[in-house]
Amino acid sequence: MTAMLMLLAGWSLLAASQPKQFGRIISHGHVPGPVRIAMRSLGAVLLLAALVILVRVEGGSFGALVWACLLSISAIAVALVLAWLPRFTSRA
Amino acid sequence: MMEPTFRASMNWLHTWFGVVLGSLLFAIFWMGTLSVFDKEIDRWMMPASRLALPADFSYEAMRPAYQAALAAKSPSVLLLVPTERNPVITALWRATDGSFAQHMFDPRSGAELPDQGTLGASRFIYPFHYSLNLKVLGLGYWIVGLCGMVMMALCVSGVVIHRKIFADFFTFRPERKIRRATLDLHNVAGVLGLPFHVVISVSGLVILFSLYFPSSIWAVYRQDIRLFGREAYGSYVRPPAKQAADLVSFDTMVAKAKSVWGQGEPNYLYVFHPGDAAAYVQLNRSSEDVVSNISYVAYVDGVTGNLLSASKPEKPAAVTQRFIAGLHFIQFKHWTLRWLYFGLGLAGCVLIATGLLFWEESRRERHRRLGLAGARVVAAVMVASVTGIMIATLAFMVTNRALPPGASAAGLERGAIEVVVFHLIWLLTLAHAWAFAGRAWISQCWTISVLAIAAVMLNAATTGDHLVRTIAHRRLWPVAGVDAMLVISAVVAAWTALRLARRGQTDAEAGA
Repeated sequence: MTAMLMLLAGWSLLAASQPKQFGRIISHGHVPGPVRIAMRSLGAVLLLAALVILVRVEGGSFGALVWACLLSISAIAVALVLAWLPRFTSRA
Repeated sequence: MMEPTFRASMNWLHTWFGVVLGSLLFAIFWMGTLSVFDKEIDRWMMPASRLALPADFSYEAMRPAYQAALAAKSPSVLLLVPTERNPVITALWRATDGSFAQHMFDPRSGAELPDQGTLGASRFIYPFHYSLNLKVLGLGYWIVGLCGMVMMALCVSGVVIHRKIFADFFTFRPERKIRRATLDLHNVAGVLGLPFHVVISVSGLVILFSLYFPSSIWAVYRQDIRLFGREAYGSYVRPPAKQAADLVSFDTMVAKAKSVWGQGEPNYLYVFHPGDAAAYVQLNRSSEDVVSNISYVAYVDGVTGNLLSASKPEKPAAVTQRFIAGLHFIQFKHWTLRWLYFGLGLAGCVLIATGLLFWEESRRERHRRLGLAGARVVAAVMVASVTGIMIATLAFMVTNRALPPGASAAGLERGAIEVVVFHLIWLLTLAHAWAFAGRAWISQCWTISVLAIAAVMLNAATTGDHLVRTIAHRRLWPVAGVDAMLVISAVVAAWTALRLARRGQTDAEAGA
């Protein structure tokens, strides 16, 4: 569960750091360079930390397998949420 | 035709291999995704098997099943150990008339359960996934193998032709034109699920390596396939003694095998020469607790209970093959992973369906201008291969609940009727898609919705196991899961139909 939340947060940060996505969420918003780098590194760290947790809880082979599957599923979840986000943010 | 650049030629490959084999790939992915929960669908389709696995299960409870096979004078009998997902003792044997039959026995009393008159998911949906149920010349395996190879080629060429793979990593814009939104969804499902799509296609091919690359075995072992079996997986064979003898206690045999394995339970007991003094039993260690689909076999003397042979595959190639096969088979007990595989399988279905849709959408105008009759046929095949197979699967399940036990028609037994209905309905969806070209998606989505609800209601009416009851009892959770998925599918299909209809309306108004 923790791992899933970390993956979702990690992907969200990575996604939001992309100028294109940032512009979609906050209309015509702009991410400054250092913030973008910070978001990306934190996102990557979160993704890797999830692997460490899963391997410790589930063991080597199961942990890695669960991580690989969750990585895809959480990324798809983030992409789907991002698809609907502009509706809410633009309304507010 | 030579294409000018590498990307363009990859584009050509991706488009045309996708269109030609996309329908088959969808069928394989759809059936594979359902096979993730094959045992749960089995429980749904075989109400008598909705049992709880007794906490104090004794292997001796398998004796009545063994004796039934002995009475049928079968040369061997395969006894599957009941598990949480499959809580019945399953016995497979060949009758004297040569027919192969599967029987189910209660894990508590050992009593035989009434024949459920269905192939269920594990004998129809699952074999469809890897062989399309085409048995002639093993053709099905070869077609599925070809599709597996093409899937890998599609994954690679798809990455090559995707221009902005990282910039578009999370891009899905449902508000855009249907063509753009479809391509977005195709890219998201493809790129984000890429590891799964590649691994599942490769592992699928590796499982059947001996079929696709028989030369590798022939080259080393010549025609002696049995020797390969002995060396790679440790098979053991001996002839019957032609003297009657009784089988030793099942618990003794299992204890002997477990003393070799250290830990783990058997998943099957294969009794050769039942009733003979030279009877021997093959026990295979269950791979519930490991990823790898291990083949850790022990052979025990059926009369004395002594260990005859035990093997652990230690050759690196065999171990690797079993690990890759395990990745694909998911025989391990891990509910999180099972659901993740199901979700990723659905992502694969979305990937293939959106790929087909994009091809059709991006060419619709041109086809209309050129007046190509073939385009209409291709469009109908696409509808039938996506919504059509879902309707056929639901019709298969509805028939299962609607037919009374022991039903037969036109010389067909109950199980065969279900299969015929599946294929007939699938064919009908194709005819429907061809006849009502413009509105086929919408009406087929409504059909899915209606059939899914009908299946849930028929299950409640014929077995009394409605959703409230199934959620309350742990042993009925598999049924609850199937019912819940049916309800969700009904809602999603109805919502899709409504959206498609609304979009069709606005398009028509814009065009007027």
